[in-house]
Amino acid sequence: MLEIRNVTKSYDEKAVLSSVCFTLLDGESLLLAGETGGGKTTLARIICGSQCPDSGEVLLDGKRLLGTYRKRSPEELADIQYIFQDPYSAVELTNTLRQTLGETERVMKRHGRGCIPMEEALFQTAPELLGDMDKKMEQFSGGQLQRICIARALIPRPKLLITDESTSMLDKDGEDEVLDVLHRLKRERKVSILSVVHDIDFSVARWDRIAVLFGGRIVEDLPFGRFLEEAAHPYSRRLIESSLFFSEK
Amino acid sequence: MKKIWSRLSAVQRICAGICIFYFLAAAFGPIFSPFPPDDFSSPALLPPGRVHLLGTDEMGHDIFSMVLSGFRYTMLFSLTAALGSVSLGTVLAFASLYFPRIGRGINHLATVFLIIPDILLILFVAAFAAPTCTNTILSMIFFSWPRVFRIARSRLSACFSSNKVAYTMLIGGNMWDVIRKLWHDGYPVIGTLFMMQASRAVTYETTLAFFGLGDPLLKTWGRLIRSALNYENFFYDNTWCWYLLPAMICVVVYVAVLSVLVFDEGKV
Repeated sequence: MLEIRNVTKSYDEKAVLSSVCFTLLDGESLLLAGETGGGKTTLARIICGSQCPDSGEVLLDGKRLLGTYRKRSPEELADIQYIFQDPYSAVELTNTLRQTLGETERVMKRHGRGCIPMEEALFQTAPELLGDMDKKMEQFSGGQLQRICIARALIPRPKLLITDESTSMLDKDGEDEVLDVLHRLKRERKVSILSVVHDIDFSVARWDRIAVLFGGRIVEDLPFGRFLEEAAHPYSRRLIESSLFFSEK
Repeated sequence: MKKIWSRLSAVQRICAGICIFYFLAAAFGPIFSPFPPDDFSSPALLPPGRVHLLGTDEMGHDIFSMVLSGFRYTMLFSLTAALGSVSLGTVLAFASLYFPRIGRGINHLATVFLIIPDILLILFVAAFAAPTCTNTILSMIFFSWPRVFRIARSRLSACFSSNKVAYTMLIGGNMWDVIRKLWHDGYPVIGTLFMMQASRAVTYETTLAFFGLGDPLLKTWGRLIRSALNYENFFYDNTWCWYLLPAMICVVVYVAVLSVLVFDEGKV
């Protein structure tokens, strides 16, 4: 269970996050929406440890995680896996698929972390690529690359997956592929997912909860099914309107 | 190897060929040397002829033998100094990024070294230290790393903030994992820097020898140029044509060839 308590972060006097609190249960998926520059990515980075909060705590299973990844233990690092927005920059494009997944396996084995074999992880997210283990990464499409990144994140058996607008660089097909994979993982592997997005697709009920971050605070935190009716904050209403507007078209 | 060759442009191929010739001359030159380079038993100031291909100097040294031995010493000088300064600069550039706390310190130190022209520092140290080969190489390495450091650091820092390196650090990868990731983007720059430093080291060595600060026992091109200029009847009877020019051409061609290899764009 992930718990965020009073996390605050500001850049040059400008507060981006002011005492953000929420919890994420095991196997639950949370959609974190909010305006551009509203601190969604900052929050995701604070949880995975690539940025240090000014104050507040991040707890995983009741254990407090230290500020940055350099201070966290290998076990804590393996528990939380972060999927980058841009799959092209998250992998070394001149490496083969085997080398890419092998890196994660190698690091995890060195730390004595039990991990699933890379073929099994790849089978979960991109089974059609199992025959292409020796292909260079630059030969794969954006959607395939992003699913490879998710496979890489599954190798250490994480408790929490953070996806940071992981579909925004992809076309519609790639986006659907990635979302399907995330949804299936949540069902089958009971992994918690924190998904950062900038717009919400209400047509498919994939998520358990929706939280809206606005002005540095969580202004809405509702189950997915009740969000359309019960969301009260003006920004949430605008999110719903824009989403419905485009889905009607 | 074949892959690298096919990427070179015609000019670069010529230059690479000259480079290979230089290496061969450095390796096998002494076998073809007709006289030992320190043998001064020949008649003085002979013009080029069948026995003395490039003539002799005022002491009776065979100039062709001295130019040949210069290949070995000058190449050894330039490659050792380049290897040293590029390794030192690159290691410090990586350290300054991986350990941000000491990074600022190294950066400031490099700035101080860069402000003072390095050739002045090298001349200064070489003037006071014993004029041995090791001392000259060490002073070259010690004073020319900041240039390498700056260029390598700017390249590596762009890769360091990229997501692929961030991923390696986020899963708890150690320093070697990070280096493996950086190597792909770093090695073209490091190769280029190596060639730049090698041509620079030849210039340093020649300059030092010109000021009479090199190792007096080593027959390098710089020493040959120095002793040619020292000879007072230098312009009499076109002596300079066979005394000064061969060594000078060797230096100029080496520096030019390395520069073209670095700066020619190649086939895109």
